[in-house]
Amino acid sequence: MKILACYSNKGGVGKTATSVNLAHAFATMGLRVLLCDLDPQGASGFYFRVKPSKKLTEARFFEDVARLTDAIRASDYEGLDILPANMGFRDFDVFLSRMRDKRSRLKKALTAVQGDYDLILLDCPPNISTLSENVFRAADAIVVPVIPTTLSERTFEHLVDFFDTHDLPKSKLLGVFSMVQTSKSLHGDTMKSLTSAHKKRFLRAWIPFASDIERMGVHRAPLLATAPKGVASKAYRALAAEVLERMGLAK
Amino acid sequence: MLPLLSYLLPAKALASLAQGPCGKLSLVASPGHPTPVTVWDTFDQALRRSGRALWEDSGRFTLLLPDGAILAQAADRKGNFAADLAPGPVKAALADLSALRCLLPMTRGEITETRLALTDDLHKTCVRAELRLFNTETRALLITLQGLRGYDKALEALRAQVLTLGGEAPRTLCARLVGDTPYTSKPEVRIEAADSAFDAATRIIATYLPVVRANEPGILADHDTEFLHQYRIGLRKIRLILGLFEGVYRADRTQDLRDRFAKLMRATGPLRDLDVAILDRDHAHAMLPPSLHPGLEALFAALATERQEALRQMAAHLQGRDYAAEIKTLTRLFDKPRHLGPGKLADVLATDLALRLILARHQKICQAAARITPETPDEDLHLIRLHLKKLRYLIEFFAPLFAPVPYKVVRKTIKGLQDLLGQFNDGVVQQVSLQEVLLRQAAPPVAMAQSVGALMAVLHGCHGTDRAAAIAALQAFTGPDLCTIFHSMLPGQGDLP
Ligand SMILES: Nc1ncnc2c1ncn2[C@@H]1O[C@H](COP(=O)(O)OP(=O)(O)OP(=O)(O)O)[C@@H](O)[C@H]1O
Ligand SMILES: [Mg+2]
Repeated sequence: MKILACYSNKGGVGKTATSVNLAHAFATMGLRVLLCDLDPQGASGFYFRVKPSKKLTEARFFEDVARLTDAIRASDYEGLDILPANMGFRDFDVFLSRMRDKRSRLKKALTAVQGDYDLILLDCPPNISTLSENVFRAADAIVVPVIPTTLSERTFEHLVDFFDTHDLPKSKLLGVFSMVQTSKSLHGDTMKSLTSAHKKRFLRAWIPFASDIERMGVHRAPLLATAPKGVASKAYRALAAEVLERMGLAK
Repeated sequence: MLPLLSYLLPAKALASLAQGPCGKLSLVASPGHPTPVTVWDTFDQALRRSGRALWEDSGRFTLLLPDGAILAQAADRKGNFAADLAPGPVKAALADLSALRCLLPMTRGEITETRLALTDDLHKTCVRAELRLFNTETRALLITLQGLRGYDKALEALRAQVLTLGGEAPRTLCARLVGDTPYTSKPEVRIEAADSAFDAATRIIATYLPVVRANEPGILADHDTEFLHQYRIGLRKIRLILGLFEGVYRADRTQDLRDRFAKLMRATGPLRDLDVAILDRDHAHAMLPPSLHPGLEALFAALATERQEALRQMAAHLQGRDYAAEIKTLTRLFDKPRHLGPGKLADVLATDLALRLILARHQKICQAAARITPETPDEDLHLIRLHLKKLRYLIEFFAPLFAPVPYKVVRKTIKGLQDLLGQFNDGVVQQVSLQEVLLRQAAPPVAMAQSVGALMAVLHGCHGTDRAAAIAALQAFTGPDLCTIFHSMLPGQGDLP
């Protein structure tokens, strides 16, 4: 079992959209996937119509292995389950530090479900900069959605610097351009300069800005299920394949 | 009852189910179209008897297990034996079926599959189910529940509804689909304490004649070799009764019947011998190094050709007018035993006679075993093997007479012993028959002759060990421990003559 995080130190860049569609795409490719909704607003759970469990707001949640596994809900899609964690900020910190500690109950809890899943995908909430190191250590790979603007360019540099100074393996970082508008020359230019500055850090696949993706909130379903033939679906499929390859999970 | 994965429902429950809703959940049904379906089983209905059901539709095999689990795989196959299926979960779950028995279409009809989903107020699916409506000999409705992780309550709600609608364990699905025509190679023959030997013998024979006949179509269609084998076992049991129950029928009648059944049996000999030889193919290959396999291939090709001819003759015999007339006469004779003519032992109690025969046979075996020396010829061992066979059939016919626990031990021991003696005897017979095959070839290729020679050498090499193993097992069977068990099996031994 491997852990993939979808992370960005910026909000609204498409982390949840990416997590939801990637998780579903992985499942359609035959992997058994657990999508952990770590966003306090329960955004991924929303897209799968999974109601947040009340139990999950309790502080003792992660003390209890059984409760974690009990909270898992099957999605409507074969091979994809959701952990609809509707947890607070502090809980997330606990979650991550426990993930690192091999003897922690959380680690044990995840070990207990390990056999059930090939991949656990973490949809991270925004603004967790102080805790991010925990994510970086726990995950085998980190998908980082980047909107190709000047501002994002600097944010990404910060992330890479952080990895350098904290002696973290940069190879875990998988940058993916998100909400790309081909009509904007700025987007194209930024993509070029970022790709050449961080040679192996960016994936070939990128996600266009698409109204299909915006409408996901209306359908409350992953894109591959509602608009499988659209450009955005194609992009997510390509992204999924590339991520699996990078993680050594490709079949 | 443990929670099952599938339930059989009355066909009329379909309407009530489709109406849903189930508690707070609403039902979404996606009905499919009626599709042609074939239900498969072995001739002896191994699947039906084990509570399973196997059907094929739309290029897929689906297997229902007794606990209601459903397995499926593509129906691609090389032949109709379970081993011929492409690797997959269905094949794996059929691994216990006899390698000698092929699967046969038992019935055909239509199947309509409907997918059900129970959804909550957000239209999130909480439990799924698969409904299968079969329309074959009868209608049968199977529902398979599919719980979703984290939605246990919804699953239990649906299960409760299924049970309310009359849901029951799915073990009988196959029986329902196929209808009530179970074949068994070992039909139960009820023998009462007050039955005369005449009545018992007649009943046994009358019961086995239809078993013999039931195998005829399978022999003609050449589905698998078991049809002929069972046909012969049926005949053998009939001949055994005629032979052992000497004096039960009028003497001239008995002799006449013996001759007639012997003739029926003789007609099966050549085909059965070839079947046995050909079934040994894998074993023969395993015994010889690969360099000698081409010669074996030539040998088995020759055997296959011979078998075709033997099958043709057997078919001609079975379809011939003489056979039809003969079997009709025999059947009528045992159905209306008045014409059989009672012999001087006709009114002896069947159980008394049987016990006497069983004891005598056992004694004969013990004496023969005691006489065995290294010089005892193989033929004598072969005769002991035949005694054992008769002893086993006898105790099987009269099984209800015996104390069940020692009966099981004795029967199992005889069977094991028969296997060992059989293996030994097969080796001897095979050496002879291999030589004969070779002699029958107009110009046997050198490779074939070499391989046959090598095979005979290997068989001869096994001769000593096989013989020793058979003798050791035989002496264990006739030793004091098993004799005690044997006698403890018999009823009221004190008052026997
Ligand atoms: N490629 C895209 N094209 C168009 N709209 C997008 C795209 N990706 C995401 N969106 C929309 O942008 C908004 C933010 O996306 P999303 O929730 O996935 O970002 P996020 O990084 O998870 O946000 P947060 O930081 O709040 O968790 C959503 O309304 C989503 O529908
Ligand atoms: Mg989000």
